[in-house]
Amino acid sequence: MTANASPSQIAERAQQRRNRILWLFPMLFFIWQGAYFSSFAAPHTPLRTVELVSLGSHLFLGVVLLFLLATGGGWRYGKAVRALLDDESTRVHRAQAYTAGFWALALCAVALYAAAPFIQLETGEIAHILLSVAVAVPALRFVMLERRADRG
Amino acid sequence: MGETLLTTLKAARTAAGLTQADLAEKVGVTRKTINTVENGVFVPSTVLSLKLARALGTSVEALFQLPG
Repeated sequence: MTANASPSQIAERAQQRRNRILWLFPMLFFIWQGAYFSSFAAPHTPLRTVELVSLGSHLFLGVVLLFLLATGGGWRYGKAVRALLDDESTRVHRAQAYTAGFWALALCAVALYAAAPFIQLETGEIAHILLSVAVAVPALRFVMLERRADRG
Repeated sequence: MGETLLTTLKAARTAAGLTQADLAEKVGVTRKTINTVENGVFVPSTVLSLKLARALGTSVEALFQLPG
């Protein structure tokens, strides 16, 4: 990055980086989900350190992604760049992404409710599924809208 | 949103000899926002519409019209 780049140029690059992060990491979330359910079929009580680290990392990544989506990112830049990263169309895309996230979460809750009498799920597993949907769906929807806007 | 707005923003911008990036910088948004407004994907707020009109030396009514 050149030292004399304008806030717009910095924001443009930061926006592309944000899109890459918000596309790649939710994918990782779903892959992680598969690993979680395969290795936790018979959970240890109490949980082993490796399992605690895995659960903690998953939670941490989820919180970071939600924070990135909510704030627009660009935390290491000045106010001008951060304002550009959270401009009018970005805020509208975020609102649309939250709406998609709400419906995905509601549908997921309905599916879990309907499945409850037939499939035995632990509280941790339900929380894992709901967290993954709550993070991944709005993040992916947001990236989709941002990329479409960028292309025109 | 579901609202449509006819716009002459692209024509006004090119007539003023500005790129999308130039106009974005003048009104304090990203190029992506200008792009979506020009393509009718995004309906700008009143404040942004006024800023765009001022940056291009025209009126909001000249930039945006309701269809029909």
